[in-house]
Amino acid sequence: MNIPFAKKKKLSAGEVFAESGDSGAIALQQAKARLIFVFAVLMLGYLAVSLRLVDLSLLRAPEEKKSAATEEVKTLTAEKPLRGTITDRNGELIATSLRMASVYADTTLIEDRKGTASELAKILTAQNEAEIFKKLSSGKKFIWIERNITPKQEYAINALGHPGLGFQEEGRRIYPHENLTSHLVGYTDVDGRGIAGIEKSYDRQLKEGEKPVRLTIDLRIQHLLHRELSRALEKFSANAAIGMVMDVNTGEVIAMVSLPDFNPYHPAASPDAAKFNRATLGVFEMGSTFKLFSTAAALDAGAVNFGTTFETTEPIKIGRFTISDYHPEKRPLTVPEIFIFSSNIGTAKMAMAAGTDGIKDFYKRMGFFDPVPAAFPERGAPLYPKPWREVSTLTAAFGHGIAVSPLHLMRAASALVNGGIMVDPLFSLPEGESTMPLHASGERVIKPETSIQVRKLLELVVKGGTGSKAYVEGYDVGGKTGTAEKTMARGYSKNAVLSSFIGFFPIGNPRYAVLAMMDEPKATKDTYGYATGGWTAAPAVARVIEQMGPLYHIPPDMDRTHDILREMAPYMKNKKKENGVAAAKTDR
Amino acid sequence: MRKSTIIWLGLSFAAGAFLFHTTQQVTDGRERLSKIEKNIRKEEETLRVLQAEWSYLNQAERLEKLARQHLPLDSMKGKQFIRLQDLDQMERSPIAAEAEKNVHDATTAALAAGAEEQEKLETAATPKKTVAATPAPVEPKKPAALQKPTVGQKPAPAKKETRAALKSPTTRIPPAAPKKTAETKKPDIKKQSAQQDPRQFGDLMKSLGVR
Repeated sequence: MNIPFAKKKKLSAGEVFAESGDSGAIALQQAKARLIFVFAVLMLGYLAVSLRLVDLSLLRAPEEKKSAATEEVKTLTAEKPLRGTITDRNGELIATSLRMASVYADTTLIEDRKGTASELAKILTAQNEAEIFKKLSSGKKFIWIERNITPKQEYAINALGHPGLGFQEEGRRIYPHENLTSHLVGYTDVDGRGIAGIEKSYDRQLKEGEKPVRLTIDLRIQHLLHRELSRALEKFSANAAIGMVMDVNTGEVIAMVSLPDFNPYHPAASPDAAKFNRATLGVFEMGSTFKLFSTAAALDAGAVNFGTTFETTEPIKIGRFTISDYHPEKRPLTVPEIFIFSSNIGTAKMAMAAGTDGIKDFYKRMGFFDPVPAAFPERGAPLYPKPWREVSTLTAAFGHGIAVSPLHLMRAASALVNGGIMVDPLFSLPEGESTMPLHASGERVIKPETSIQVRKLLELVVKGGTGSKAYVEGYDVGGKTGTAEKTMARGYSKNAVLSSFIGFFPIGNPRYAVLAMMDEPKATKDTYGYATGGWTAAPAVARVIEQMGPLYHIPPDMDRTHDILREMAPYMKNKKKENGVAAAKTDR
Repeated sequence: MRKSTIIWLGLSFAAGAFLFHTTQQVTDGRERLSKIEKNIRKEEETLRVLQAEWSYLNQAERLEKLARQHLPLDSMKGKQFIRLQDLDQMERSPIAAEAEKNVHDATTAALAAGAEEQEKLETAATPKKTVAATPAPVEPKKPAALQKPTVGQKPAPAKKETRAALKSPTTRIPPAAPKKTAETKKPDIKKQSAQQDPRQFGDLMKSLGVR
């Protein structure tokens, strides 16, 4: 069949060439025209393609490069980013996440359970064969064999080539400093969600994982505070201890400790009492440290001055309450004397001079009626009398009938000594900042002159009053002791007390506030049977200041230009001025 | 066949070859890129682990314990500050002078011992002649009496040895086989990085019970 066809074709071709007549020439011309047409069409096509090539490769090159790059980035970040890191103010790592493989099993795919279990037991030394066998025999489609294994173990298990075993990479939260910052930093749940502390308040930023959260905390000071509080806790067999260091001018929280603490790796294993952040969430009747505020209120309102005297001989009786002093001086006392002997009667009378409304307004300004404004999730709401009566003013003057958190106390006391500006506590520093501007979020709450008066009173407490144990050689420290009787089922207990000391240094121009509080400290032989703030908390504060001062390059006062005792002598008619121990004993 | 046909054929073949080559290059480049990216990720991961480990080892409590064990120092007190202008008026205490002398003696002894050891290594690790030729510009501590200046020798080989020894102060060169140690000096970087996943040896991981 082929041959005739070929023959025919050849023939026709032959015809064309043989019969070279007019018709042949026309046919040839026609063919030529068609060829040119086809050629032109093809050429146009090629031209279009080459133009497009030039367009893509030369003209649009930058654009294409960009889209290529974004594509690359997409493939790079396909992996879920690890939870971000938390560092202290000096960049020291506090929390980070590490990628670790976890091995799981689909037990329906495992036939030789015994063999697999023994093979796995050789690799995973943390478990024995029987434990693994039990897991493999569970019949589940998914069961974790072991979480967070090493790359070496992963390789070995992979090499077994078992279809029923698989891996999943997980970010594991690491806290290299363990218990040191547990209440402050908090912890995450199994899925890496922050559920307490900084982990919670900065959860969103941490989840994105790019920018580290830089805290205001200084791990060195945190350690100092933690160590001194732990020692005091043990020495006085206290139930709990709270400590805080704060920059009085910026509100930066330099250290914060609440004991007992917990291991952030196993928060569930700790009792609730240990997980409770007493420093921010706990509210307490503070006792005498509150005299700081009632005295400041009276001074700021101009109701009293250093020379004003109050009769403290007779206890005050109001309704069913009796306000008395523990070590009554039984004579008229000046304002500085009332403050350093911590006289309840005197302070109550001073508060009366300032007026119920005056005190109430002042406490409101001090932030004692609201939770502290701060980027921290665990913040206790204060307890205070509603409605506020005259008797409330009297008791609140010396820190009873009103309960606030230690964070409240620190914030308000800082405002009293820093020149009168209320700042909000800060827990993190913005990127690139080494410290915050002074009085950043400030609102004036007392006059600068009042602040200077308060500093003098505080210094007097340490130099010649109940806080003499807070004396630090080289640094001028000011502070106030507090010993609150704890509320029991019926009234107040004489033996269960909350002892505290809040100190400021250098008191001439305060930079840092240091707080130590002990819950139910027991007196020891060294303290002559006293479990008061002056004997239990003040020494801890002194040791923190003693070590923190040189660390922060704070030059000690070497000139000794001012002598607070001499300066205040006109207001002191005290007979036992020279007897520091006697004064300390009156601390309440 | 016409000449132009051959040229066109040749050109198209060349173009094809070039295209193939480019494609191949891109493929190779991609592979390399992904490998590098993987390495970067691994290194970043390693960095993270090492940072955590470093922070763990820098636990203040641990450092404090170590400092107390190994150093005769205590934390600084405020009373230890002194102003510059007060320095002249300070009486030089005999204790301070004594301490200063002790420190000075100890330092001199340590330096002498170090130089001696260095000398021993030198003589052991290199042929005598070249050692003698070394003008030893790298270690000025070397006692002058031990230098025997000779002429006409190139100091280069000894220098190399010295440099290697200085680079890794902890590696002691065994005197028995000097040549061999010189050869094995160069560390096998690939092998090392493959072995040293910090998760395998860190104290932090041990503390987590991971290892």
